Amino acid sequence: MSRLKIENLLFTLFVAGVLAGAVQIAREWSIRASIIILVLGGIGLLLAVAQLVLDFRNLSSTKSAVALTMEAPALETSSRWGSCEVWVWILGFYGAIHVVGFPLAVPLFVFSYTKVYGGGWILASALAAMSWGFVYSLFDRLLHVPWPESLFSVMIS
Amino acid sequence: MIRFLPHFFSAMLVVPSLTLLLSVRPAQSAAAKAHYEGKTITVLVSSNPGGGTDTAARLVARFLPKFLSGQPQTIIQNMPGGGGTIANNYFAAKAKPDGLMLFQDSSSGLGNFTRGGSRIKYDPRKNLAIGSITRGGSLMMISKESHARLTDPKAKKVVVGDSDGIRTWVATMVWAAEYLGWNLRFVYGYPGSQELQLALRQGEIDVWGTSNAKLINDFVKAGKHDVLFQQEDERRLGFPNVPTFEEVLGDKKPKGAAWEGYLAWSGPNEIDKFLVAPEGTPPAVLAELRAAFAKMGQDEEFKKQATNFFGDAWRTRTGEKTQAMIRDVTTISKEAQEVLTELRKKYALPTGEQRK
Amino acid sequence: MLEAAIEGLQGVLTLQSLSMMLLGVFIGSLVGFLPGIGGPTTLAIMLPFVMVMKDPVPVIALLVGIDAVGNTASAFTSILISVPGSSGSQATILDGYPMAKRGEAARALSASFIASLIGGLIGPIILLASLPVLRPLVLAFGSPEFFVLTLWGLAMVGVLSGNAPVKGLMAGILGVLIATVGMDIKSGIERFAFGEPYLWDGISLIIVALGIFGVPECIDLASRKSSISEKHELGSGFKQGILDVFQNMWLTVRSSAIGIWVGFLPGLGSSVADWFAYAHAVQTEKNNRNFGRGDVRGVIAPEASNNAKEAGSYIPTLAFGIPGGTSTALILVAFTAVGINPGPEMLTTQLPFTFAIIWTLTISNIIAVALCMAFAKPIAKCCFFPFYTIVPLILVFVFIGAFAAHFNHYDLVALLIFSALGFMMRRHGWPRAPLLLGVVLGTKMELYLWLSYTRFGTEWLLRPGVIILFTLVLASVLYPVWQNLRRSGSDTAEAG
Repeated sequence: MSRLKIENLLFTLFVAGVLAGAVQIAREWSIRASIIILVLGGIGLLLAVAQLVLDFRNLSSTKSAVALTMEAPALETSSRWGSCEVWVWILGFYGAIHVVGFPLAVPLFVFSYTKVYGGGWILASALAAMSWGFVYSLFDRLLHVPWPESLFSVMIS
Repeated sequence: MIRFLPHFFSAMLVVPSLTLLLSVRPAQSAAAKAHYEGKTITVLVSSNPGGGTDTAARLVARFLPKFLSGQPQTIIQNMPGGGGTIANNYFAAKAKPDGLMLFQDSSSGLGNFTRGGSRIKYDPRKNLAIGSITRGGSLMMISKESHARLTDPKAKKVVVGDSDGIRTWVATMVWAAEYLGWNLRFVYGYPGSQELQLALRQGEIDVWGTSNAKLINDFVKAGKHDVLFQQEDERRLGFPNVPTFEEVLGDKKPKGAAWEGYLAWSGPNEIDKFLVAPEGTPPAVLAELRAAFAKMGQDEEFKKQATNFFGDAWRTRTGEKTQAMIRDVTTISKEAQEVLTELRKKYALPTGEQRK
Repeated sequence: MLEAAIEGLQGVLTLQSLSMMLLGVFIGSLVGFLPGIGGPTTLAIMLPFVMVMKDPVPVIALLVGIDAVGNTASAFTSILISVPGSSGSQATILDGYPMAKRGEAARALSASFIASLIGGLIGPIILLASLPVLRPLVLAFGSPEFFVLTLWGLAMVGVLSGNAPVKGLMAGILGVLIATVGMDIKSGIERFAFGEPYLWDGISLIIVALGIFGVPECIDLASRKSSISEKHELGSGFKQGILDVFQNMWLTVRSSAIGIWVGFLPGLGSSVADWFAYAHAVQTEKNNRNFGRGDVRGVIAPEASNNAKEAGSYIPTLAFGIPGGTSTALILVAFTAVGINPGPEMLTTQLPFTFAIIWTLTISNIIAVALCMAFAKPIAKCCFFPFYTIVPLILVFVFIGAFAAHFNHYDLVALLIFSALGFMMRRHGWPRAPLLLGVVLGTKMELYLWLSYTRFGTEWLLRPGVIILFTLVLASVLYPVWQNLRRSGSDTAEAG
């Protein structure tokens, strides 16, 4: 039983849970607002049961997953931690936006990612500078975007 | 790796050059130390770009600075959502009283406040009104074919169409159904005025209200629709032969709480699009803004543009008058509120309650 | 009419108008490139400048120029990095990105641009041809007819699920549920908003698209630690892409027709044109096993239709002054400011302006495609850049695009959530296209069904328009089934 197949099952359960939750919430509304959710959610739950059965059967079979048509092949990873690594970067970027604000987080993120994974100092600095320039000229100067207040700006003000 | 730089460079240089090209600033006139010298006013707008509130805001943003000391720059900041609630909440929480952030709201912000609810975190009565532009009340159009059925209780009901069922002009039709015995039913849920226009032309709905004079004239010229009445208490310049709603009601006009309820629902339309400064703005700054708004309303170029957009029935109101109207329209007695809720329930219109 | 056509063309061919058009094409292409900053934001920026201009024709040249070409340039990001540059280029990702991964980026790009060109030319031609019947055409579609059209969209979910129909259908249902978040106009209830004003207007489509399609592919790149394309040469794909379009000309024309059809219906929304065309291609083309894996026809169909739909969205505008979408709504504001009165006069006294619009649509499409073709090869080289240059830039791009949609930082939270969902779906083999389609069509279907029922009771089922459309929808669903039966029948006949 491969770990991936167990996770397939868990994801189906998750989707089923979301559908069930939606149906439960919608039951309290008037029929006008809830009918589409009740009908589609109901159908969805039936389909979820069918899919769970398929996933269970798949758990014990030795065949590897058939590639989907209409969809890219399932993600494979090359490092031990799989895609956790890049998720840490993504969440880190998001956190940086909150701590130091968009205009600073962007060059910081670009610079550090490029440097850590093998880029040289010049390349990393150039990319960081260009991305900062892009963000600044388009969003600050042209669009006058109201950046959300970052922790940093709150502290220095 | 460095050989990839030129590709990035060419892409990244384009945008800054575009910025330079487009940030052309008009020449600043030399003036003595003025409050707005070198400053930028942000006008928060409670709707999407292109809507009526946004258009009014852009007109104001373009013309108001002409009459302010120091001719400041203006920026529009759109913050749509929740029928104006998001922008209102934001303005109440974040706007500093220095005259550099103003808010262009519309009557739906007042309507939402009156209906109330836990997400309403603002009080429009606390804002200081600078002035308002009203585009004229709505006029009710009806298809000629269904006009005859209006007063015949045995005939198929005449269908009134709306987006969310709480537009101020819907009040007139509800009161007409209740006190004049008109044979009506209400269908609402159309996404917007485009769909409603189409539905009216197709005959999917029979009655619709709008204040857009050009549109009304187009419909009337096409020959398939009449104008029933107009919402305002005085006949508009462009429609001298169309009776007002009160004239149509005549002696069947209700009194007391029933009429108060009508005014609470239909009233905000009189204010329409209004510009406010936050609570606590210094009196001198407020006075300057109000004076500038009043002068702007008399500017020939402004008048021309406003007529282009709003037809010929628009007018501006002073900040003081707007402030008083806001106060009037947001206070409603318990009895009047009950009348409103009862009538809305009777005609299957939204009452603001969330549960079954 | 000929005088009006010539007058319109003369107005467009002046130095001022041409330079405005060039500026518009340039801006529109740049903006189409950037996710989140769509036509509406750009037009909103342009409005102040436009409102001070006096002569209407340069205004037309600028604004229509911007509007017409956004969908052409957005193919760059859809194909190269699986990030939808605009809502019109989402379906292009399904086959465009796999082609880029195989080292066929140049082929995909040139095919998409030529298809865009043809779509962008056919659009105005059909617009022109339908000028006399514009009004009855628009009037023929009421709520019941719109509902049947959304049913056609439902049929697409099946097509786009490939060989995982159960998961595909569930994904579609999930998409519809996502679309129900927000204020339900017909009942006054805020559905699934949990008291947050941010959620009142629902979850924006661009955030869902960015999260579901853009970020997972980026994660894939980062995890594999390789560049987008495993091969390291552009090859002669560029010319092949052009040939591909001509070899599939009938598909291109059909897709353009679908684009105009969808574009002209104000109720449907411009994000469906490319999906309808894509699914139609899958249903009707022979040898459709490679769709979703890098079939160039999967790029041609959506790109042709999303350019044609721009012309289509002007039909209700010209017929009744009703905007076909947000972009046309803003354009109408600008028109009014310079004295053009949108409405019946566009077909009578203001006919030269109508022709100016048609000419601008045509010429700006040609200029945009030329521009994109010129940049295609250099930009396609980014497929060979190492992942540590591409990944952070894509993520910055996506985050900014998400934020720029409404300048609301909650959109970033939503982006993270949908990225996680898209990542999970990709990992566990759930088709993502049906989810997006569910989001796009879900509430429209509900709304039009509701309006049809409230207004007409059950009589709406007997309307001639409904019956005709329903037959067409049924035909489009059953046709591939019939084709399959025929083919297996002839196979057994040959074998036997």
